Amino acid sequence: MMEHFSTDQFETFLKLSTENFKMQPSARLWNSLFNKMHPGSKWPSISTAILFFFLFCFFGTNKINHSKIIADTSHQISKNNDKKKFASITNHQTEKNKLKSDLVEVQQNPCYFKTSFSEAPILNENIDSSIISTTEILFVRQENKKDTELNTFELIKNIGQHFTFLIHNNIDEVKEINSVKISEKRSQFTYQIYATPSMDYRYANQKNTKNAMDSNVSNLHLNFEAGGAILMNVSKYVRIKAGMQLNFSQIKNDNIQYNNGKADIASMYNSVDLMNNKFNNTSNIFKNSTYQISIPIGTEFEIMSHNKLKWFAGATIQPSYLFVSNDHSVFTELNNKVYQQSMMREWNVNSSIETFINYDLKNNIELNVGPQIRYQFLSTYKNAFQQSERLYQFGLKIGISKKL
Amino acid sequence: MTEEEILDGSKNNNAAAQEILYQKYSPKMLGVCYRFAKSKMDAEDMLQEGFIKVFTQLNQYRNSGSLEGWIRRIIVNTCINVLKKNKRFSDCLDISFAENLHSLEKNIPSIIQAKQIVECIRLLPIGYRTVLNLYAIEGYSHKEIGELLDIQESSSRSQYFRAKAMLEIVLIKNGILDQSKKELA
Repeated sequence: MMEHFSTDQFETFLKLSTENFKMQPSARLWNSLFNKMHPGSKWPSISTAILFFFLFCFFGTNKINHSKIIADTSHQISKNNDKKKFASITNHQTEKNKLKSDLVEVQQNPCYFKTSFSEAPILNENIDSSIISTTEILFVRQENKKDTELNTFELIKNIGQHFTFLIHNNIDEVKEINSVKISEKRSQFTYQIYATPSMDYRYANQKNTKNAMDSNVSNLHLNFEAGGAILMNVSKYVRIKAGMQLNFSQIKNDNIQYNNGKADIASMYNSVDLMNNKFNNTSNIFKNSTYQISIPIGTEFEIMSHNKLKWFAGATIQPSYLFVSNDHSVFTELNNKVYQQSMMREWNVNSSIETFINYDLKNNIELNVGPQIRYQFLSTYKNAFQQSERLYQFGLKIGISKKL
Repeated sequence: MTEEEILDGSKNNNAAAQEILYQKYSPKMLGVCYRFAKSKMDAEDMLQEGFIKVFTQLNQYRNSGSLEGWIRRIIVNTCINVLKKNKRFSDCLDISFAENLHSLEKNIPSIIQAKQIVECIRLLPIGYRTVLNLYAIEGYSHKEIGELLDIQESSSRSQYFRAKAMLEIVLIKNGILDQSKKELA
């Protein structure tokens, strides 16, 4: 017969047996919990997604552009110079009849056309390859070689090269020699590299106080940022951009001290005085520096243009990640100077507004010069610290951009 | 970081402090959730919901008892709320509900005793299991269980005794009970 536990025994047994039962949660659980607790921290992944979207658009559109094949027939030179013929295949659909008659005419005067690259104007005539491939069969004739059929795919492969083509119209059984230049349609993308030396303005204040005495403004320091971006024209006057940039900033004399166990940013002058008294044998200046990587995403508007000059205004939002920080902390007793990176906020958000002049150099290369203001949305330091700091930077952006 | 610093940081929504708090208590709390849940995945969902409540309500913690006890109470309440959203759970709390014991005739893999016992508990019908968890392990009174599960105090008592009887059978079948009794003696 089964012997039962008394209630107390049973509960004790169960409690003792299960009290220290542990299971390891999966790693994704904390990530999910973190995202729910700190929804603002989602922006790095969002901005990365946006960056990938732009990159996808860029490469995707570039790929699609390959199917936009341009046939330039405006500068054809006949082998028999006295029999120059032009088989204009521009605006193919609308000029269908014209094309046919031209082809017939050319056929009646067999000739060999060759395109001169140096003479050919760039992209003055466009034709959609898909139209060609559905109505005509293209043959390519190269010297001392048999005519070979060239489909759209092969045309794409041969972008940038020049061939003598035989255009065959299935309907009219007309076969004609024609000479075209195959090239890509001009991209709507521009890439840009730039550098921006800047001066900063830091405003630090005590949390939970409105007392102006608790605020302080630090000296101006020289900072630097550099990066690259891809710009895409979305209309004649507007373009969007995404890129990556490195930000370097330095904080001279801004000392961090611990007061009553909580980190604090001391007033610059006071702490420097304290430092001078305490560290007589060492440098009086604490040179702190940080390196951030950021992903600027934004837009630019063309305000005005005149000849080779264009005037733009733009704005970006820049998710940023602090990957190197050499900031010094000073404890209350000032006996030790330590490196303390953990107090710096790793993820932050900056925004910038800028205006600049574009000067068209040549070969689709432009010089960009103009002022920029950058503002840091979140405090430089983590929330756990007593003081918060806002950073403003005023710089001169100098860049080079090239149309793809 | 000391416990006080972790607590202060978590109250101030400091992610680093919250992570330390989570890492410290989540394994044990997942064990609690697992006793109530159908699967580990469900248990993790309960744990996540529970910790969100822990972090958002941490300012209400007054250092009057142990932090673990306070967290545990929130986690258990979360588990109950999750279970109550399931209609079948309410049916299971009906005192007339009785499951045959065929489902209990499973052999529990012999890993470690705590794990074995938890697995045995998880073999019980969900209504029985919940009452047993709350009364025998979490230390709730039948009155509190009645209020928590919206059932009569007497129903809780009945459920518990049925659960206990069932669990004894399962423990014996899996060779755990005799061994444990020897250890207790």
